[in-house]
Amino acid sequence: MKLKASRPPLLGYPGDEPDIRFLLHRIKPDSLETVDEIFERFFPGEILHEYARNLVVRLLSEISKEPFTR
Amino acid sequence: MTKRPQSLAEVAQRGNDLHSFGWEFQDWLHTMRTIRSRAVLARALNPEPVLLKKRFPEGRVADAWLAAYAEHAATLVGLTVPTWARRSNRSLSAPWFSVEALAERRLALRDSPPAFKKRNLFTPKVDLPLRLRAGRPPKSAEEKHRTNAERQRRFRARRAFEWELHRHAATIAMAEKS
Repeated sequence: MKLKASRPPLLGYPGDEPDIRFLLHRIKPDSLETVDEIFERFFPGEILHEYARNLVVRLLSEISKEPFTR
Repeated sequence: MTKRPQSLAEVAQRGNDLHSFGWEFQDWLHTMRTIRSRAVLARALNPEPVLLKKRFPEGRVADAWLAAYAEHAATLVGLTVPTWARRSNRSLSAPWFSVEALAERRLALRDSPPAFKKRNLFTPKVDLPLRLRAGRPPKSAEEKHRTNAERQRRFRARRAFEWELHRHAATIAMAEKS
């Protein structure tokens, strides 16, 4: 659901990025394709918004470099 | 519990700093989810929000952001754009992006709605959970009771008049017979 909404940050509001980062940390998908499969399971026939795809790619690359902190 | 802001003016009124502005604005988006008619939406957009540029450092962006949202929502449903949203103090002189990463900024450049672009605001997605419904706006239970009572009164008055006509006709018929 967080990916479906994928609200970008606004003034004073972090958007869905922190929650998506947390979930990716927990689920540890190896690629965007894995995330696509999970998304498809919950929202059949729908595809990730382009912003969400970019976000996932960036977060996956960032997560691989940082330890799990939360 | 504090009631959610019902208008953009209330968002600005309550936004004492960047953080509170952000959360009040999100709360206003929740209010938007409940709006079903153009008239109610117009009431949420039309009152002019106070300017925030002196209240906190990012206030100018907040001022432009509220105007962009007002114009975007009004245009989507065919309402007149509020006058306050057209003023020049509701635009930025330099571009502002809601995202940092280059790929996301590219999306923001491409996908920001015109109301945002013309104010130098760029965001890859605009959350506007509007679900207007066709037809008359919903009525409260009290209003329905009042309407029903009025309908019943009209019905009884009509029936009373019909009875009176019958009685009158019967009297004439009896008189003719005798």
